[in-house]
Amino acid sequence: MAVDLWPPGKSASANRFAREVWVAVALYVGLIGIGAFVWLRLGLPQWSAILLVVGTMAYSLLMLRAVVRLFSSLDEMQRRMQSEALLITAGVVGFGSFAYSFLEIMRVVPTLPHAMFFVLPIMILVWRVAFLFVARRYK
Amino acid sequence: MRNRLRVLRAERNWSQADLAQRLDVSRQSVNAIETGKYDPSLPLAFKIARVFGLTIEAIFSDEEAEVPAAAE
Repeated sequence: MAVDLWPPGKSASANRFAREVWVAVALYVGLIGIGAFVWLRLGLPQWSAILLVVGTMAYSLLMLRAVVRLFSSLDEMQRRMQSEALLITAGVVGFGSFAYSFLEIMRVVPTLPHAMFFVLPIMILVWRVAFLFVARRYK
Repeated sequence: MRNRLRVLRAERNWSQADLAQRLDVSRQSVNAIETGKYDPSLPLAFKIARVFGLTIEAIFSDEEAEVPAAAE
């Protein structure tokens, strides 16, 4: 499906940008995960955690750069579709997490430890599903 | 907004992919424009007109403007 979304002859560059995004995501998640594990294991001082998080944020900027480049390779309709999908994602994840927090306070649902870690993966997942939903309207 | 994209493309024996390549857009976008599910921006409409060697008005027409005219 992905190849069909870009102008003919641009699918290779689009695939390259998509690879860049996933490499940046993997690096970011991997490094911050390993970093946090090592930090906890070695019992390093708290200020070093700030260095760890700021250091790994460079990879999140790489991810953003790849996403921006990915967007610029799309045509106007695809950009519109992606924008609509992002809007749905913001609504679902934003209000979803808000609602869950309320239910947590009221002790209706269990309190998830380190729940913030799941926000980014959930956003990526919802964005993908939302895009498929939006794409159906333009078929 | 209605358009004659499919007819004009057929007259030239172009596939949707051929037209997409000429317009530098995806084949899905060409399909969405043809079926009226997406209205192109003015720059893209000009590009489409250039590719077919026609004016924008010869390709696109305003459905809403046509209804009162037909009623009269």
